[in-house]
Amino acid sequence: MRLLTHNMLSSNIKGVNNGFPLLIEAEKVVEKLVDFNPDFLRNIFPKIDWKALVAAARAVGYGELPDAADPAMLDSDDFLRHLHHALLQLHLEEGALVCPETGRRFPVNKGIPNMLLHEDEV
Amino acid sequence: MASNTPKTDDDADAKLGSGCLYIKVSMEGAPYLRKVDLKTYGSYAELSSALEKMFSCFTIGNVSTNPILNLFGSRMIDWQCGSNAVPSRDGLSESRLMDLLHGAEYVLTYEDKDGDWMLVGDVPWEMFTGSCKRLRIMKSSDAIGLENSFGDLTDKVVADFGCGCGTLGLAAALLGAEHVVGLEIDSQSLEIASINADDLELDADFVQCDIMNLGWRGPIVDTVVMNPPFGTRKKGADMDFLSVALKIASQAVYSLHKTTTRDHVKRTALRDYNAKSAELRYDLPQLYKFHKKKEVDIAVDLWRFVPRKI
Repeated sequence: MRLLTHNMLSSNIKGVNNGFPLLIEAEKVVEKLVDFNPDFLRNIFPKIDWKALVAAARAVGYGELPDAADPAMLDSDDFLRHLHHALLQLHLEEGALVCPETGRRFPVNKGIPNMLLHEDEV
Repeated sequence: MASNTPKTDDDADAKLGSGCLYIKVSMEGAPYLRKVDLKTYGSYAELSSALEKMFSCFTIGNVSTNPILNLFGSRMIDWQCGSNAVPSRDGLSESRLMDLLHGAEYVLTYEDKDGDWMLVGDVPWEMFTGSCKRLRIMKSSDAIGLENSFGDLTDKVVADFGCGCGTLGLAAALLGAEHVVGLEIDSQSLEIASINADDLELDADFVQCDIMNLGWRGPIVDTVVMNPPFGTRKKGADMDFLSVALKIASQAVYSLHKTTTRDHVKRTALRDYNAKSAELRYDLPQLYKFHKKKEVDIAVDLWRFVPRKI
């Protein structure tokens, strides 16, 4: 699972007010190289929750993203390369996503998070 | 299915009572039509190689990597082994579409007696020659129905709702989607979807979830593609999916629904689900007929909805 997917998922357990961002417990992280697409990155940037992305990247061991980002940075090739790597090339392969309010763990196996809720959580 | 002998009376006019069965063949991008006599061929393989020779001059550049028409060659082998494509869940036969994705640049389709465009290779050869009115060689991407999609896929974030084996989402990835997320409740389907993605050397994320209970953050998804369950267990499940899709997508929703519910789908999408527009995509053959029981096909429509920006 890419961190871009992490950036759009939230915990939807009954009673939870703010299920975003899910915390990441990383047991295994893999890198898969994909083509660099600056237009895509410029386009997706305003839709990203930056703080959540930085935290997620650090949780999987990548510390190259700045704490804060503004659109002016999109002119920097370095910045775009780091963003590309964090959003699209790092995959959480094994581990868990954890609801920030309840601590409920959603396991991630073979890169697939299991977001199914139990009956009493719906 | 036991007897494949063409019915003499019904098809008399199509066959002209002679030993020949000439039909027209067209190919996308070719400037003229050809005719072939189906009676001179004894199998799909023979027809395939004959058409390949006939139209090879229009496929220069593709031939080396993707031999034209090898696709339905492979489907035909499936057929002869008796392993008819088994529909997954109550949706379309995913394996047929996976064949399309794995296959060549072109696929062979035909117009049957009822005027429906069908993918060649699903029925025994004799049954095929008995109902084929004409042939068309079309681009695989057109056959899937997602080409010419108004820029809804290229460089976009695409979610495949109820992705099953991943077919539609992977098709989107092949057509240039930058990030694809397949959402599916069934873990076995997801395993197959992962394998399919690896086979096609495509990057796609998969999430196991119930579409109706997934939490989303932000307007990241541009386009939703889906072949939703039509609800043999729960009626109207496809409409529940559509409701969520129109909330999540910012640009477009491509969705398959039963033709019999056409009016209902359109009315509900526009009135209750805040769709700005709902249009049918007519330009594809009946690849999406799904088999509820043997012999029973159900016609479905491919829709393109545009969500209203709030």
